[in-house]
Formats: sequence, structure tokens, C-alpha cells
Amino acid sequence: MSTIIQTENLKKHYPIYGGVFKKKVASVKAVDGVSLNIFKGECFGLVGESGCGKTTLGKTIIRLFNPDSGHIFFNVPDDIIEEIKRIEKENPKSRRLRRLLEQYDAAHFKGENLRFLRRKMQIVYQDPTTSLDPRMLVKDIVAEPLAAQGIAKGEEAEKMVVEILRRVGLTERHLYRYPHEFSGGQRQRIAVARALISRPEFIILDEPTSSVDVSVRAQLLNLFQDLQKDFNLTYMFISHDLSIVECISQRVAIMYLGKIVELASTEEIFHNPLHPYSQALIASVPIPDPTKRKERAPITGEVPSPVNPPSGCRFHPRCRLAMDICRRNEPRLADVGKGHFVACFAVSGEKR
Amino acid sequence: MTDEEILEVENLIVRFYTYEGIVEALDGVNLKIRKGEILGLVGETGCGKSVTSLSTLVLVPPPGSIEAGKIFLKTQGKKVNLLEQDRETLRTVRGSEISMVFQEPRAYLNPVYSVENQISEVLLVHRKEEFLKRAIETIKKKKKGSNFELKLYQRMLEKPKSLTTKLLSKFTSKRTLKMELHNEVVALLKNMEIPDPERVAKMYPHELSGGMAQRVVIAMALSCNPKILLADEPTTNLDVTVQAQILQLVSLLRKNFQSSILYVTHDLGVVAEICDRVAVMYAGNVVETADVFEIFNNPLHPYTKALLESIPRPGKEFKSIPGVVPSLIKPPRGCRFHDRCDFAMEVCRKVKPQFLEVKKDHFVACHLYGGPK
Repeated sequence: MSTIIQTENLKKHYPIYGGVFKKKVASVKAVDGVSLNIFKGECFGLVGESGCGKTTLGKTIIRLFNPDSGHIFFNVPDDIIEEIKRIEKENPKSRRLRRLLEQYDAAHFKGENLRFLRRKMQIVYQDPTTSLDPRMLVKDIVAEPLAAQGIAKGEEAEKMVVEILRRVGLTERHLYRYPHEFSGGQRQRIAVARALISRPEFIILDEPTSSVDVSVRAQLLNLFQDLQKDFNLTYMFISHDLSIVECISQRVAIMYLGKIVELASTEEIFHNPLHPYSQALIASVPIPDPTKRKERAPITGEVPSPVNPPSGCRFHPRCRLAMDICRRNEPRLADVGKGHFVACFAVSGEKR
Repeated sequence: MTDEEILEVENLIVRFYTYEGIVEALDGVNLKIRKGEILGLVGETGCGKSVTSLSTLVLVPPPGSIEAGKIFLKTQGKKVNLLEQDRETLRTVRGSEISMVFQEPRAYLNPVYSVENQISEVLLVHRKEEFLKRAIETIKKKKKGSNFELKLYQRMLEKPKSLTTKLLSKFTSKRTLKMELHNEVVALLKNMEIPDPERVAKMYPHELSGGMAQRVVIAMALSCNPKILLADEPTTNLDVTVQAQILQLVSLLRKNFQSSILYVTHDLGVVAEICDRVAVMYAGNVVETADVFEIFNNPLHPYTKALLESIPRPGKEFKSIPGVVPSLIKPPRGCRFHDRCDFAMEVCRKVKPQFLEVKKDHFVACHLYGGPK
């Protein structure tokens, strides 16, 4: 499998200004050093509690936010990534590195390069009522990326709009309507059509089903799966609903306070979770079967503030396995075999 | 758990008179809550779950109105129809007999009062006499507080309506009474498993996290030991880990306080986790009620079946219910589910199915299972 997206130590901090002179006094470490690979054609699930930085990570990968540091490689051959890493280590100020980054690292893209990136990476937001302009016709909403990217105009554009609307289960009857005339599920379909029309390769689905009912949810999930096959798409599925992620993704990453704590195939994550946080998270999902009721001990306490995350491993104040080393050192995301990565001293046995 | 019914809703009809037309929100809802049980009320958005729980408190906001039906509450061995009571009686019922927890806890907490202030207010409205007596006892026992305070509390007990009492109680400090209230608030918060209740009591709502705010609201709802707690999607906006904590708390409270809980939710996982019985609602009707095991293993109504099949399960295709929830302004005639139902017959289009007991304790409103044709 070839990699479509590779991030290296990606960071995004939001500054907090305070004091008389509005100086930067602290920062919210929303994404704090995330490295991951997304393979072509897969659905990559990203799971975590609210405020753990899931959405920020997604938006940073497609450059809706500018990362503070780190690299994003989108469809870059391995040897170039290797070279960039090598030069960075040897001579971080060289001109060649800067040129390479501007050419290949999406985190450093500008101008035309960035515009082309937008064509290839798209996003579907959580709430279609707020992500669709209430004063635009469906036709104009869906055609907007075509105009912005200079792909098509006029009749040609309208033809493409009709074609894409059909693919998402709407018809040309819907062209001259406003978003408020649609139900929640249909609105989300419009948002999907808008994301698809520029023929992207990678789409971020940011909790696309959390604002719709169970019966409509299944329709949308089926649509996502069909479209993935038809358009050869790669998804990053951001959600806090683990039961959906289990059904739709091939690999899952679990995030806690701006860091990825565990990354593995869906099978592995749900049947053999290794990180104590993943275990607690998966155990706290209610199972829709009354015969499988369990006496469980939910994790106590709440997520600490990302402004001032705990030292060492960020989960240690709530962790049942916490050791001395967890308070001092930060665990690395280590491979424990079969592409299963965990960031925990207790599990990986790593002493650093 | 006994089979004694503590609340009975019979044939409740609620309509909302809007400019677009008459919304037939509830169309003859039947519901029974037994003593000490958790009854789950499940359904999609807009099916009337929240209106049902608001109606049981006779709190349907305008332009809505309760058109017909009966709501029986059993208090002190008597059966009382809440819809026939005057406002004063209803005021005593709300909060002390039936109380409610809402979906958005922060929207129901006043941002300018501290947690302690808000819970004390509830206590003062419903349990004022009890606390006055307690305060008097404390003064007598510990010889703390002034003679004036003692006289004032006695006067507040004896002549609560006189103007002098009101003025006096308004402009004096009432330290002992406040101490009593504070202790009770802290005890209540402690029951909700809130760490460091003394500190939390002094906090303002914006300082609380979502889960903590929900605990405070539950503490407020339980402050008068209600017999029935209506919980309207109390964990919908919370994370799964916090939801697990709240669910554990709810089942613990049921054990400790012996109250009945109506748990409104759309999450079948939550239902399976904590409920004893389940009522499934669709478009303003309760279509099926049964034991939780019965509902999951042997659902009878086609809608219940479809709802259970729409739960995502790994390795299986996602199944959805075709069509959309009908508008309640001009709802379908007959059975309101008929145009989405795989088993729809001629009779379904014309006659509304009756709510019948098919098996012991298993009620269904569907023509497939008998009833007059």
C-alpha cells in the first residue's frame, strides 16, 4: 500500500494573549507533535474526546490552519522524504532544504501550490446547517469550488454539478433550492457533493453523522462507502462515536490531549487495545445488547487543560498503570508489531 | 422492584398551534412508570420524547397545549390527575414529586449565581419549613446565634405570610439557616460523587465542565427526593467516558433513592445499559413498550425492528429505514409509520392501530398483532 499522507511531528498551538500589552502569555497545545501515515484508499479513523485536538489535526493536515512546525507530505515519493529528513539533520539551514520543502512539504506550500492542494484535499463538516451558506442556491454552493479553482464555468459547470448531485443521491430538481428546504441528511449530501466536485483524492469527514438521526446515519455511511469505491478516495474519519468508526475504518488512531496514544488496525484497536486510555475509552462505549451489561469502572476525572498539559505522559494523572517514569518522560509512539503503535511505557516496556 | 405504577399517562394528546398549521405532537401517548424502575423512552428527533416528559410536569410551552388525556400520579396512596390540579398544587408537585434533568445542563443553570445559591433556592422553595426547624434546633442545641435569629425563624414558621416577617427575613443575615443550607448542598454534591464539594459549591456555572455541570443539575433535581426523575437526554452532549460516569451515577441513585427514572434518549446503547423497560416512540405515538431484554431479543413493531437494525455493527452493511420522519403538521392517516413500513397493509392506511398487550408486559400498536380491523 502506498502512503498518501505522511505527517512528521506536526504541531499547532493557539496563542492566548493577555496582560496590558496583549502579549502572548500561554498557548493551547491543540496538536502537539503528531506523526502518522495514511495509506491510499483506506478510511483512517481518528477518535478522541472533545477538546483533544481531532478537528484541529484534520484542519491542519489540509492546511485550513497553518501548522506551527512539522511536515505534511501529500503524495510525495519516499526517497524525497528521506532526503528532506537527512538534510534537515545535517544542515537545517541549507538553501536546498528550503527549496525542497517549498516544493514538496504541504506545510510550506504557498500560492499556486496551495491552491492546487485545495483541489486534492477536501473536508465535510459536522453540521451542514452552518457549513452551507443559507443565501446561496444549491447550484451555486456546489459549483463554488469549480469557480474558485478555475475548473469550469457556465453550462459546463452546471453539467458537472448535476452529475455530482446524482452521485450523492440528489437530482437536478434540487438545483434551484436553498439549504433550508432540505432535511439534515440531504444537506449533508449537498456538503459531500461540494467536497467531491473538484475530484479530490483525500477527504476529511469531520463527524459527518453526529447531527443526524440513526436512520439517516446509516444512509450517509453507505453513501460514503459507495463514493469511496467509485472515486478512489481516501478518508480520514473524525468521530467520537466509536461504534461507527469500528464499522467504517480500516485503521484507527486514538488521540488524547493533542497526541496520538495508539494507532493500529480496527481489529486490533477494538479487540486488543493496549494503551490504558484506549482500553478505558472502548470500555465506556455502551453496547446495544442488554445481555452484555458489564460492571465497569469508568476512568475518573476529566481531561486536563491543553494549555497546561501534565508533564511526561499526558494521561498519567488518570492512568491506573502510572509509574514514576510516566511523570518524568514522554513516551514515544513505538511499534509493538503488526503495525500496532502505542505510546505507553507500561505497555512497550521501553525505558528511556 | 414492585409492579406498582407510580405514574400513568393515558391517551395524552398535545398539539402545537403554529403559523404553519397545527402540529399534532402527541397523538394518544400511553406510558406507565413503575416504582423504582428506569424506563427508557427511545425515538428519533421530533418524535415527541421531550414533549412527553414536559407534559408529565404539565409544562408544555405555548403555542402548545394539552388537548386531552390523563396523567395520574400516585401520592400518599392517592391517585391524582395532574391535569385537573390548580397551579399551586402543581408547584408543589414539580420539584418535590417529579423533577427533571435536561440535555444542556449549562442552559439550565443561571450564570450569575453560584452553584450553592442555585441549589439553596430549590431547597428554600420546597423544603423551607424543614430547614427552619433544623436551624431552630441548632441554635437551641449549640447556643449559637442570637436570640433575634431564633425569634425570626419561629416567626417565619408561624406567620410566613405576614408582611413584617417577609421584610424582616429579607433584610437580616439568617446565618444559621444559611449554614444549614450550605451543609445540605455539600452533602448533595457529595452524593453526586463530585470531588471536593466544598469548592464546587462556591463555583459559578462557567467554571464547571460539562460532566460536572450535569452532576450539579442532577443534584438540584434530586434535592427534594422526588419520586420520579425525568431525564431528557442527559448525556447526549457529553463524551463517552463522562457519559459512562453519569450512567453509573444514575443507576447508583436509583438504588440509593428508590426513585423511578424516565430516561429519554436516542442512543440504544445507553438504553441497553441501564434501563429496565423501554418505550419506543414514533411520530407522536408510543408504538411499543416491553422489558429491555424483550425489546432487544424479540421486537415486534416494524419500527422497533428497523431501529435496532440501524445500529452499526462491524462486518455488516449499514441498514437504514427508508424514507423520512413524517411532518407532524399533516401526519399520515392510520398508522403513522405505514409509508415507511415493509409490512404495511390496506388497514394500516386507514385505521390507527390500538395499543394492545400482546404478551405479558409487552404492548404493541400495530395491526400485524391483532386488534380490530
